[in-house]
Amino acid sequence: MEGFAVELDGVSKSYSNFEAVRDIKLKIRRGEFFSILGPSGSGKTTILRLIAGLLYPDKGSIRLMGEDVTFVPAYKRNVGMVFQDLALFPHLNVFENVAYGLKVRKTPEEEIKRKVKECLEIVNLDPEKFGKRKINQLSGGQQQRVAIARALAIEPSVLLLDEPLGSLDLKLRQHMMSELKRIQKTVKTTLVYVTHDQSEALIMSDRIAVINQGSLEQIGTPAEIYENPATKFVAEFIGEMNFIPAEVYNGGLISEIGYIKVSNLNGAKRVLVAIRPEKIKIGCRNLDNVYNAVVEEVAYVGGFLSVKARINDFCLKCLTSSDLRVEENQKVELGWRADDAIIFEA
Amino acid sequence: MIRFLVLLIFMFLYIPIVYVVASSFIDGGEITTKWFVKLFEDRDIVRSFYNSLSIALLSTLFSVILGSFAAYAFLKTNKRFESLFYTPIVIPEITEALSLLLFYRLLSFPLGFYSVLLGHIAFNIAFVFIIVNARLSSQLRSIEDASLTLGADEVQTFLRVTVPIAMPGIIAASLIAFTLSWDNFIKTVFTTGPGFQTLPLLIWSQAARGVVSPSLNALTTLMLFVSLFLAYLYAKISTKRE
Amino acid sequence: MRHFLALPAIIYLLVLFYLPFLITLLYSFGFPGFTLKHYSEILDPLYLKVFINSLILASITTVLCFILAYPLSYYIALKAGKWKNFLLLLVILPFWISFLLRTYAIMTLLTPLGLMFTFPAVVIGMVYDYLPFMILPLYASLERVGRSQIEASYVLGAKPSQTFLKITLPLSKSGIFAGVLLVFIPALGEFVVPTMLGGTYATIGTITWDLFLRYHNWWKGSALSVVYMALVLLAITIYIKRSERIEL
Repeated sequence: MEGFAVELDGVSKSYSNFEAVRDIKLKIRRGEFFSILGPSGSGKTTILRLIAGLLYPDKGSIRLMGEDVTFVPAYKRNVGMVFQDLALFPHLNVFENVAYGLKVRKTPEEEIKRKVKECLEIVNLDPEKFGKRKINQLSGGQQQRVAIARALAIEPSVLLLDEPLGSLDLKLRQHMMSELKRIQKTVKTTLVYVTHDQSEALIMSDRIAVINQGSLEQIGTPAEIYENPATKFVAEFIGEMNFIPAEVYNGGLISEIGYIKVSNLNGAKRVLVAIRPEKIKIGCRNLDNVYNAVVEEVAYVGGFLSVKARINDFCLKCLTSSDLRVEENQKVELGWRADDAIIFEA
Repeated sequence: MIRFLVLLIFMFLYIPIVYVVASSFIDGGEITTKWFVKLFEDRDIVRSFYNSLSIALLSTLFSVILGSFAAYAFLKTNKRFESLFYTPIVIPEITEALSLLLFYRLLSFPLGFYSVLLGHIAFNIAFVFIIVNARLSSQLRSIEDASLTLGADEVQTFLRVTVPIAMPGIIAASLIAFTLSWDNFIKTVFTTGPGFQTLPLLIWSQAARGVVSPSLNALTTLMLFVSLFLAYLYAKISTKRE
Repeated sequence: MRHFLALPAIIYLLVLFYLPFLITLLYSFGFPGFTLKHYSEILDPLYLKVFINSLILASITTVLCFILAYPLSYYIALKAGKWKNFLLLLVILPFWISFLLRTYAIMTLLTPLGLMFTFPAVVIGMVYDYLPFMILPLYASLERVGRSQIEASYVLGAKPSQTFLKITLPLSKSGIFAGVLLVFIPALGEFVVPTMLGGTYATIGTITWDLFLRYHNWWKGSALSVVYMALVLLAITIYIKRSERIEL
């Protein structure tokens, strides 16, 4: 399978009083698990609705499987969508819900039966047991599965999921996440997953697009986005991050905590030094940057210690193995390698 | 203490109704249906019955169509327009009725079947709107979107998804609209003309003079049963939905 | 786009509901001419007496309805247990039966009691017809009070009587107000009950009826109706203002 499943080229969409998305360029590969990640109101659902054909863009073009579909209505696109509120048909039973897309395509009865059974089995719902049930007789997790099966039944060219796990509790959510991965491997479809939950996106995706205020901030694999955030927003939104304001001085940086050695500087005069809590080592001397600090707070978070340490008047969050023994008010030395810090313009 | 009071109040509410119904089946200490038989022999009553029925059916039909489409159009999105439909319900009926009468007089609109029907529709539209609007969930929009992404066009979506989902609300609204129209008195009496009589007008023409009669009891019982039957259907539909 | 589906209904209401009110307003000012004399005539002692009659009847009805409805609603909302739904059904059922039929029903009982055409008969009929309109909003507000707030009050050391005065009653205030409005406003203009049970007892309702359907005095009838409407709108405005404040 060559080429891209979804291509957005310079897509913008405004509502009456604000611009929901601005100049989005995306290429989603066939068979990829692609996440669109951003805070609520960032325009990620709008992007999904544009791909589905439930909205048309003001500017730009949209291609599905290489074909221009910019103004093709939703019902001609063959795109599967799982809605945030699931949008199951309350007047139909489970079988009829899954069969709906095939019925309106005038698929033969026998074929429908076979296909619905297959799709329910893919999502691990027993067709015999659940087929006749009404939607309101199902648990939240089961409804989720029906919504996925319904979208899969039409053999969509892309499967779009709009925060489908938001309403589930943590345990069920984790379970459904691995289920989704399994389902995607089984049906080998392209999957576009919209979420505001960074851990969902990091765990499941092949690639992630981070959206903020209608604009694309960065596209990359989970590792790229975590290790090398392109913007301050991405650095802040994904994972935990310490930001230290600093000024360039003599090829290095001067800040409230002292002199900071960094590996590369980009012309700016005032910068932010970003360092992940887990990159800060406590009680280690052979590092590029070492400081004297006082431990302010220690919290045990299952296997790890979350430590708040103060250098002069500046607080840093550190994450360290719980083997280490630190106590509040203890004086420690902490530091990091120059390569581990990321520099943003202030 | 409080239980005794509750019992007394319910007796106060229901004894008169039970009394009318019971006395319409009694003639000189014997149980009889002769008062009902007499009703159907009276051509005036039979004609009024048909008048009431046709007004109720037609006003239900038109108000359900207009009111349901309006409810669907707004789907809890536009409060300002919604209040347009609430006014007819809070306004005392008598002021609405006499306004209509003046309106018809000004246009020299002939008073009778059509003037009554048009008035009933206006009132019922508001009720239908509120009931259907209350029962349509705002989730309907995304359910329709789901249908579109599954390959159904707008018309198929409307027929296969929107209409069936709205149906329980529409049926409930129809039952209430029919009931309101069926035993409406005030609007009818102000907007009717010579020669057009409905059952409530017939009851009024005799009872207004304070006269109680067995045949009037029977007629009241008959109308009561129709209303209660509609209420029963309504309850049945409402509980089924849950 | 979809909003256009509401257009037929809106046009219908504008033409057959809102426009007629405008015409009534015109008539009250002497349409096709212009005069204020119909309003000044309403201030005549004869009409003033009718207004006072209506106020008295509506007030007595409202107070009696409240006295009967409050304990009943309290019982259904907080004490009825498994009977709750059944009792609620008994309260709602009368809404399906028109005033005319219900008034006739109470008439069949008042006649053998020899009470017909007296003021007490009118009051009994009014309370009978309007009681459900008081019960339902009271019930709705008491239902929202819920047991836990009352229990919290007991736990904090309040006696039942203190709990009722300091918790239950204030919390059901919105329901009391709605119930009073739902009874008082239509009761002011009621004419079926006074006509059928009271004979000659004159109220705004019966006078309006006479002016329109007996004397065909559209102008004075309209003026009377406009005054009544103004009272109604005033009451509703107060109600909306109040309920906004209660929500805050």
